[in-house]
Amino acid sequence: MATSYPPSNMPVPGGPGMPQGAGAPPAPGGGPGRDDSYFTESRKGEVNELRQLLRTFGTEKDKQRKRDIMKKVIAYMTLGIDVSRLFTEMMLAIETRDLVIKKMVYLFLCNYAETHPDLAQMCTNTLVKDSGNEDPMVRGLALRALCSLRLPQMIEYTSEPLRRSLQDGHAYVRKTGVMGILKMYHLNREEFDKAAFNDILYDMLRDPDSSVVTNCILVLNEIMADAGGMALNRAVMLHLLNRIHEFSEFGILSVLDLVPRYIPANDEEGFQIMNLLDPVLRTANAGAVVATIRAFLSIANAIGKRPGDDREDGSPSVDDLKRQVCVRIKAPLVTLIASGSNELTYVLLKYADQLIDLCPGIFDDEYRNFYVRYSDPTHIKHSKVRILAKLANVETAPDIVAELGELVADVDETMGRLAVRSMGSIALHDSGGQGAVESIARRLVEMLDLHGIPHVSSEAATALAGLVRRHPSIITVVSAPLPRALRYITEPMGKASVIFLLGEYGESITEAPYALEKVIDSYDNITDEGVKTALLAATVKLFFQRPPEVQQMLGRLFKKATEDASSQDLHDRALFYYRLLRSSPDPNVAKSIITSKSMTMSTDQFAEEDDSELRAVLMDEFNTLSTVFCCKAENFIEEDQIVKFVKLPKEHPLPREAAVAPITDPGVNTITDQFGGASIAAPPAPAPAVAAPAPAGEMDLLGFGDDSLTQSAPAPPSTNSLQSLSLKSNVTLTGEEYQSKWGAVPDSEGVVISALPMNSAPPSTDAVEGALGTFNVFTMASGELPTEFKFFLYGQEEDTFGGGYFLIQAVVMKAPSSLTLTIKPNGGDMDPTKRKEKIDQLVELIKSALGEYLP
Amino acid sequence: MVASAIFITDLTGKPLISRNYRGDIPLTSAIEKFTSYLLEVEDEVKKPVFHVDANGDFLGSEDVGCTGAGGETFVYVQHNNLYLCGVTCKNSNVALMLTYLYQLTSLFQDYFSTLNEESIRDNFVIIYELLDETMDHGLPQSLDSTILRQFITQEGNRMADDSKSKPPVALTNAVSWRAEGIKHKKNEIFLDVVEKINLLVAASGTVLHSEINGAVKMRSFLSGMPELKLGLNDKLMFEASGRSNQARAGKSVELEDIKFHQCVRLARFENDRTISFIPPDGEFDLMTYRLDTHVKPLIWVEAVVEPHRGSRIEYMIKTRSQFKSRSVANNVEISIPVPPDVDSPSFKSSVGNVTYLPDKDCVVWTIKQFHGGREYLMRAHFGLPSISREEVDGKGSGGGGSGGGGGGGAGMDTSWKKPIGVKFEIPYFTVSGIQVRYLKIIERSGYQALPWVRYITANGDYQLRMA
Repeated sequence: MATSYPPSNMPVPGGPGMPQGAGAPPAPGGGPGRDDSYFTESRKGEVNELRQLLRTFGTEKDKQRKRDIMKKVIAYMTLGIDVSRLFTEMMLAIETRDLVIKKMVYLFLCNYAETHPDLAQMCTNTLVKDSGNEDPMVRGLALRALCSLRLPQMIEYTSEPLRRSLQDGHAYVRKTGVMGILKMYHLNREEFDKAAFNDILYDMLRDPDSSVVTNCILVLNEIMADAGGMALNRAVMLHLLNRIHEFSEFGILSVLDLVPRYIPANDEEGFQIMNLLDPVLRTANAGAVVATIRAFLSIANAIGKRPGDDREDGSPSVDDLKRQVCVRIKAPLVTLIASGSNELTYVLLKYADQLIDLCPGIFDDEYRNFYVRYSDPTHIKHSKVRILAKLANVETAPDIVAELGELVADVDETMGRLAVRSMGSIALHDSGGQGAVESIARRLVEMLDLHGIPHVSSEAATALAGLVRRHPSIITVVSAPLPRALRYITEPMGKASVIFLLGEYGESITEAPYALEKVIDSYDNITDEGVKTALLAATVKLFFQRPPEVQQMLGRLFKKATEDASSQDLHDRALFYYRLLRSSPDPNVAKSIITSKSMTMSTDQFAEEDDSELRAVLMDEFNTLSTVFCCKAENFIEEDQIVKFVKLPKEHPLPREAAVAPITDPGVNTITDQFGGASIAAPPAPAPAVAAPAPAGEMDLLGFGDDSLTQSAPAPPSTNSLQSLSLKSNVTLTGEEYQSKWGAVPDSEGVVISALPMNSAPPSTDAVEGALGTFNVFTMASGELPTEFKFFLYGQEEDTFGGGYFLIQAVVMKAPSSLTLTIKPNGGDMDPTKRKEKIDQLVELIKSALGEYLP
Repeated sequence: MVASAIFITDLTGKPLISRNYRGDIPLTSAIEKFTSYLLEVEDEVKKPVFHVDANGDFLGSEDVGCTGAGGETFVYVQHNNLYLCGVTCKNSNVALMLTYLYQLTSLFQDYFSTLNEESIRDNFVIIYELLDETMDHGLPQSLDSTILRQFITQEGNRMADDSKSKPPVALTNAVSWRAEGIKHKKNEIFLDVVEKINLLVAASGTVLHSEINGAVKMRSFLSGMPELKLGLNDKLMFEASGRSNQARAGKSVELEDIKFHQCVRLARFENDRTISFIPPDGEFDLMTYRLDTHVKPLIWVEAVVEPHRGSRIEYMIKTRSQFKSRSVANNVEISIPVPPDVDSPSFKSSVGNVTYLPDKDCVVWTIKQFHGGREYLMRAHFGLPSISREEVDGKGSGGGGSGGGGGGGAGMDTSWKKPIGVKFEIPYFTVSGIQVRYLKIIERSGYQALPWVRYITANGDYQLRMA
C-alpha cells in the first residue's frame, strides 16, 4: 500500500482501521459513511480526478459541495499523499468568503509552501490582502498563514502587515501578529533586526488583553534567549504580577516563569510576591502549580539570609525559607500526584523527589501516599520506591521497611532490586534510628537465603557490604550466613560483596577460609574481573588474620592470578601482593600496609553519591525536562536551543540597605502574609504593589511612567490626611511586652473614645483584624463574647516619627452596635499636643479602616 | 513550554494527524522514531517522557546526556486507542506539555463526545482548526471549549459573509470562559458531589493508606452572566466567619487541599473562604479536594485461600459493608484474582452473581444492592492441573526445590499477587460528610434558577492485598 504513495513530507499513512479496496466503497457500518469516504485507498490517478473536481470548484454553487471537495484534498494530505500538484488549483479557491474553506486552503498552503516556494509566492498578494479584511477572524488567519509559510524570501511582504496587525483593534489579530514576529525571527534574523520590533513588543506588555501580553512575554523570551530571556525590571514585573488574575490558565504560566528570574527589591517585596501568587496553588492546572513552586523557591533563594550576611537577625535564612515554602506546597503537590493521570504523576514524582532532596524530612508524614499500587505503571512504581527510602525517619521507618519488604519478591526484577537498595539506603543513612539498622540488616540477611531469586540475594549482599562499612557492629548479625550465601549467590556484584565481607571479618567467621577456598579452587570458572579482584584482596587480608589456614590457598591463588591473562590489572595486583609479602623482612610491615582497618564512614554518604553541585543546577532548571532526566540542560539540549538562566534586574542585588527598610508606600502591605513578618490577615488588594514608585535611578525601560501606574492603582488609603502619623508595617509584640507596655502607662494618660455608634456589627473578629491590619494596626488578641467583640491592638510609628507605640483596647458591642476605644501611647513623642494630634489621627485611621461599619 | 510539533497516532504508532508548528525538527522522522519506540521498547521500560539522542537512539532517563547534546524529547499520553504526543528539542516545561495534551483530549471529547481513531478520521478538518487555535508556534493559546465553540463548530456553518464582522473570540472578555448572551429556556444547575475512596490494605488486614478524592462537578444551564456563591460546611469557613460553635458541633469538614476551576475567585476564597464564581456553560469540575483522613473501609473483603497443589484450589470470601444501614451500595463488584491455569470453576454465594473471567484471571462477584451493616459469604472452587504452568515453562520456582533453604522460598511461587479490587457506588452519601449548604444564584435579569444537588461515594483505587 505504501509503495503507491509518491514521496512527500507528510507522515507515511495507513492503518488497519482504514477501509481498503480498489473500488473505494464507503466503510461498512461507518454511520452515514459520509466522511469515511475521504479515506479511501488512492492511486495516483485519483489526484488527477481531484484536479478535475477542483476545476469545477469555481462554478460550483453549493457551499457544502465546495467544502466537500476541499475536504477531500485535505484528507489526502493528511494521509500523506502528495497533493502538492494541485497547488495552482487550490490557489484559485483562496478567494472565498467561506471561512472553513479558507482555513483549509491556508493549511494546504502552509504544508506545501516550503516545497513549492515559487507557487507560494504567487499567493502572497491574496494573503496580504486578506490580512486587511474587515473580519478580524480572517485578518488573524491570513496573518498566521502568511507568517507560517517558512519562506525566507517572503519576509519583505510580511513585515508590513505584521506591523499593521500590532495596532489592530482586535486582540485576536494582535496576539497572532505578536506570534508572527517570532516566526519572522526564526526565518530571517537580519530582516528581523532591521524591523526593530523589540521596543514595540515591550510596549505591548501593557496591552489591555492578557492573551496579547502572554504572547509578548513568550516571544520576547525566545528572541532574547541569549540574554536569558525578556529584560525584566521592577516596574514590568510588578505590572505583570498585578494583572495576574486576568490571565488565562495557560497565560498565567508566562508570568510565573518570569518570577524565578526576578530579584525582588527587598525582603518585603519577595514576601508580597509570594503572597500574591499563593492562590495559584489552588488552580487545577498542574503546570501553573509547579511553576508557582519554582517561583517560590527562587524567591526564597533570593531573599533568605545566608551565612555571612550582615542583615538584621530577624530575617529568616535561605534554608528556613525554603522549608517554609516546601511546607506550603506539599499538600497541593501531593494532591496532584494522587489524582493526576499516570503520565503527570510520573513527572510530578520526579519533582517531588528533587524537593525532598532540597528539604529532607518535609514529605515524611505523607509517606503513605507513595505506597506502590498494583495498578501503577512500572516507572511510577520505581519512582515511588526510590522516594520511599528518602521518607524514612524514626517513626516511619518500620512501616516503610515493611512495605519495601513486600516488593522485594516482585516479578519485576528491577523493582525487587530497587526495593532492596532502598532498604539498604535507609539503614545506611541511619534515618530510621539504631533499631531500624539492625532490623533491616536482619531482613537483608534473610534475603541472602532467597536463592530462588538470585538478583535479590545478590542485591542484599551488596547492601550488607555497604551497611557494614557504615555500622561495623552489625557484622555479628551478618556473619553467620555468609559462607552459605557464597555458595549460591550467582551475580558478580553480590558475590564480590560477600567475598569482601569474608575477607574483612574473617576472624570472627569460622568457615571463612574454607568458603574462600572453594571459590579459589573454581577460579577458572570465574568470569567477572570484579569477583577475582575482590577474591585476591580478601584472601590476602584473611591471610594475616588466620595465616595457617590461608597460606596454602593464597599460594594457589597467586599462581592462578599472575597467570591470568584476562586482566592486566589483576595480574599486576597479584604480583604486587606477592612481592610485598616476599620482600618485606618483617611480615608485620606488610600486615600493617594491607590490613590497616578500613575506615568507618563518618558521613552518611559515600563520596560518589555526592551530587550537590548537580542538584543546585537542577534546582535552577526546575520544572523542565532537566528535572525529569536528572541531567543538566547543556548535556542534552543543543546549545542554540538553550535559554540561559539569568537573574534580573541588576540594579538592586541583595543584600543592601534597602532590604531593611520596607517599601514606604502604605498600600503595599495589604496582602495576607503567610510567610514572614507579622501575621496579618488582610484582604489581598488587587493592585497593591504597582503604586510603589520605582526606585530612583531605575531605568524606565518601558516608559512605565509613574502617572500611568498610579492611575491604574487605587489611591493609597487616606495618606493625605495622615501627615504626622505613619505606622510601621512590620511590628511584632509578644504578649508580655504588650502587658508591660500597657501597664507602664497610667490610665490617666490613656484616651478613651466611647461608644461611637455603628451601622452594623462586623461579622467576625477576623473582618476587623483584617481591615485594621491593612492600616498597620495589628492585633495582639481578640475574642468574641455573647454581646461584644474585644480586641487588643497595637501599632508602632516609623522611627523617623518617633518610634512610639500605641496600645489600643477596642470593644465592639453587637446590639446596638457601637465602638469604644481606649488608646495608650507608649514612648515616642512626649510633647502632649503632638501626642494628642497623633492619637486623633489614629482614631481617624481606625474609623476609616472600619468605614463600612460606621455611619 | 515549546512543542515543535503535536501528532496523534493509533496504538501501533501509525500517524493519524499531525501539526508541525515550528519546523525545527523533521516531523516525519520524528514520528517514525516514536513508532519504533512503541514497537521496540518493552512495555515495562516505557516512560511517558523519553529522549532520543542525535544518533536516533532511545535513552533511558538515567542515560540522558551521556551521548552528547541534541535530539528530541517526546512527551505522550494515551487516550482510548490513541496516543497524543508532543515533540520538543528544547528544555521544555513537561508538566505544562502534559497539561496541554490532557486538555486537548478533553477538548476533543467535548467536540466529538468520544475521542478515538474513528472520531479523529471523521473530524479531521475541525481537528486541524482546533490544533491551530489551541497552539501557535508551539506555545499554547486558548483551550477553552466554550469559547472555541463560538467560532469553530462541528457544522462549520459560520460564513464570513453572514457574520457582520462580529469579534470572533471572546478572549478580550474579563470572563474568558463564558460567552455573553447565553440563553436557556429553563435555568437549571446540577451539582454532583462525588467522592472516590482510595484504599490500600495489607495482607495482614491493616489499612496502609486511605484517602478521599472529592470533586464538586457542575452542569450549568443558566442564562446570562450569573453570579454564583456556593456554601459548604467547610470548617475553616465557619471559623473565618466567627461561627466556630458551628465548626465545633462536628457538622463541618476540614478539606485539606482544595483546587478550583479557573472561574473561582481565588483571592476571595483566600480571604474569607467564600466560593464565588461565574460558571462556564455546560459541564465542568468546580473544585476538587483531598482528605487524607483514616476512613473505615466501606466495603471490607477477607479471603481465605486453600491451594492443594496439583489438584484444586478453594476460596472463601467474606465481605462486609461498614456504613450505616440506611445507605445502599449499588453495583458492587468484587474481583478476586485466581491463578492463570485453573479450570472447572464452581461457586456458591449467599447473594449476588459470581462469574469467572479467564482472560483476566479473576473471579467477579457482583452484588446489585449491598445494604449497610450486612455480611455475605462466597465460596469458589477450582481444579488445578497436576503440573503447574511454571513447571512446564521450566522456571522451577523456589518453593518446590529448595528443601532446607530457609523459610524464604515458600512464598515465592505466588510472588507478587494481584490484590482484590472492589467497585461500588453509594448514592446520597459522602464519607467526608461534606454538605452543600446553599448555592446562591444571582443574575441581573433576576430569574429564578433551580439548583439540584446529588451526593455519591464511589471506589477510587480500592485494593486489598491477598494473604
